[in-house]
Amino acid sequence: MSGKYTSGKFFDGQTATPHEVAVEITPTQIRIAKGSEAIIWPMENVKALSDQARRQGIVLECIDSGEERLVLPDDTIADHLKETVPALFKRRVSGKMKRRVMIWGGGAVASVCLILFVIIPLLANTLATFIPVQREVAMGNFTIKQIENVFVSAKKDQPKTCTTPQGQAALDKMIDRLTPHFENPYPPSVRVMRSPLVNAFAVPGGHVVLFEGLLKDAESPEEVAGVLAHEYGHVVNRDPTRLGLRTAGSAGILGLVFGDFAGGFAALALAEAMMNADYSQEAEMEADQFSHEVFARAGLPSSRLADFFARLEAEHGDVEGLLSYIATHPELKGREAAANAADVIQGADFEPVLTSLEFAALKRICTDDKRVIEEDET
Amino acid sequence: MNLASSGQVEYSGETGPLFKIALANAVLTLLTLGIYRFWARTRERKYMWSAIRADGSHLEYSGNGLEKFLGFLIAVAFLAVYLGVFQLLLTFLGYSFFEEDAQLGLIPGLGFSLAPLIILPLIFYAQYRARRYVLSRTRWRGIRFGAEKAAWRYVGVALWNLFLTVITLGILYPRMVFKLEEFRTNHSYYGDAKLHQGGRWPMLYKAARQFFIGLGLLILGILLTIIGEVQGASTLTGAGGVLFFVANFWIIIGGMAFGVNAWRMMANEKRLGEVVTFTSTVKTSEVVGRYIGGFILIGVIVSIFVGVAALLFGGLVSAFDPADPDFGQTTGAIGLVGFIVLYLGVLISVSVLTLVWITQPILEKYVTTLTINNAQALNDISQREGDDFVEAEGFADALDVGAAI
Repeated sequence: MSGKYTSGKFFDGQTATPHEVAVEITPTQIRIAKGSEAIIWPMENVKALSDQARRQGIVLECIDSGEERLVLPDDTIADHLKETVPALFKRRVSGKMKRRVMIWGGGAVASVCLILFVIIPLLANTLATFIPVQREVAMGNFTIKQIENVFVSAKKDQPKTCTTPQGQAALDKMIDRLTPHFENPYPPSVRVMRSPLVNAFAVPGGHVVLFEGLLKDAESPEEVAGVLAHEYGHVVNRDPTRLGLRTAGSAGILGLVFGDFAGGFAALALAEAMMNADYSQEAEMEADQFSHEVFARAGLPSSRLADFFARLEAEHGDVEGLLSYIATHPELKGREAAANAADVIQGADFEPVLTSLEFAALKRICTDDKRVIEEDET
Repeated sequence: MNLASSGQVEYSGETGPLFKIALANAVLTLLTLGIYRFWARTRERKYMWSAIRADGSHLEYSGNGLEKFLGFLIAVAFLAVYLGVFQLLLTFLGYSFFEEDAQLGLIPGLGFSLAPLIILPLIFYAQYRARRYVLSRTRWRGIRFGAEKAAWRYVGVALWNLFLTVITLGILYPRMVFKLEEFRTNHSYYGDAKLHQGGRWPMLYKAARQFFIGLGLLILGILLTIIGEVQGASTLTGAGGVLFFVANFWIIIGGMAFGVNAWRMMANEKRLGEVVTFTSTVKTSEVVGRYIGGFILIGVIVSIFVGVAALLFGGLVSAFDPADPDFGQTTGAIGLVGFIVLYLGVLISVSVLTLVWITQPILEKYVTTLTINNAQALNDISQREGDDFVEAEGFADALDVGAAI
């Protein structure tokens, strides 16, 4: 059987000496004549190097003898091989390699899960108790400045934190109604910020921030008090500090896994959101429970909280299914049911948190300063 | 075919083919959330290695993506616990030592400045191992390069020299550069031939001249400013400020020039086996010029891209009626899409253009100015034992301290 003839450079993989060789290519094999010696490469084992920058020719190896290389400078021969040998650039992955990847893949996943879901939460909870309260308060002041910068939509001449004499008096009355019923390790600090968002935060160091949008959305003072009690729950449990530590620990891990690649930012943000959602689902449940207990001791109906959740659901819809993994708070339906179940008043009379006049003053804590403010965007 | 040894080194890589590889890599890396990065780097290395032709034969990069991925998995399995706990402790220290300053607000305390110290040994370790992996996967004429298993000793040398550099306020930095390169070289092989670094570290002070001139200008600038302030002489303060500004540029460019000078001086003092030596005539001004030119070019292109995209999305928004009740939602969605497109576009174009306009041209400058002396002696070099390096450069990947290419 006759084939194509060409010449090339051969490296035997033993020494760096180049050998000039005559080469015969048939459909089944490559025959390399190195002096008087003949080397036979079966065609099914012949592979070519990929992504080469050379301007001409092709470099071949034989997968049985991985050290040898054959350089063929003739382009017509290179094209001939590319056309006639279908698997020229395809390399099989050995079973051993596949097993190794599986084993270590499992090991890597297990290791990451262990640290994310067991070690970091445990360590964070323990360490959080060692941080001095003054430090937490200082951290909190820092965080509050950040919240002001990001969320607060005040005009230049408007203060970011709202206060009016009547509004502040109503807020203080509400705080006084709740605080005797639990122990707060931090100096008391509650403030209302100018933002249309329906939201509230607990910040490290016992600070609680209510957004103006939440006050406007509330239909009874008990709803606001319920949110306040919920945030106090976070404060008492030191949640902001614990969660801060957890987030920092897991951010290190996620950065490690996803690396510094172009899409890493998005993947990192998503993964971290999921992590935090999971942490806080548990923390939110506990804060809800705390608010129910405080309400019971203060002689207030937690069913008012359920009303609030029901209205939130009607207005904004619940996040169910996949999205609920990303949402920071548990499903509203579940929270509504829990609030109803914890109600000790059961429709009986109770002393309201605020009179309707005081409640109106609280709702206008940001608007009574006689300045025109820009109304919501929703 | 001419098999006589010339010792010439050429570079045959071109912008077009590398651009295609880099673009495909960037897109695939995005789509796979970063997993493809191991295969991406393999392709780029294969191309650039094979473009280097020394004494008539091309280099070959024989690494593959899967082994890098495996190495990464191994590193993650080991490092996850260490890094997670480490990061958390650091944040704890940050919380505990946050200082409240009357004027500056909150300033990070001691905890944050300690951070790099704890991870530093690991970074040097990973860098040495990554280099050893790359050498073990580099072949020329079928013969492998290689490095000894000396990563922990390298960490020791690096930390000691870093310590000396820090306590002498950077005056011994050239010594550190020399000692580390000497260690790496003296533990490297081509086949069974050992590489040797000659010369002594004080020679690098000549290479650092511009850098130290910049440093001197900086100190002079600061002194002038202080004297001007104290004596109330505003011209002196102004001159100090100008000097300070100039000195910063001088230091940056002087630092780049030092890198090139040091590389050339040390290449000229390297020896492979008994007789093979090297001559590098790489021009400092050309390499530095290419860096600066590349940065400016990429900056301009990316700015144009951002400008055009902003105009496009701005035009899109203005096509909607502000009276429409859905206006806010629609324009918000357009803004979000616009931001994502812009963000990804900038990332992709910067990574691709850096490779083709900075990395490859500079590699070409280094390579084509290199000559191998007594190259015929290379023919006698025999194969070295394979280095079955299971973790590949996994530690460097995981710590993100891998080489640029």
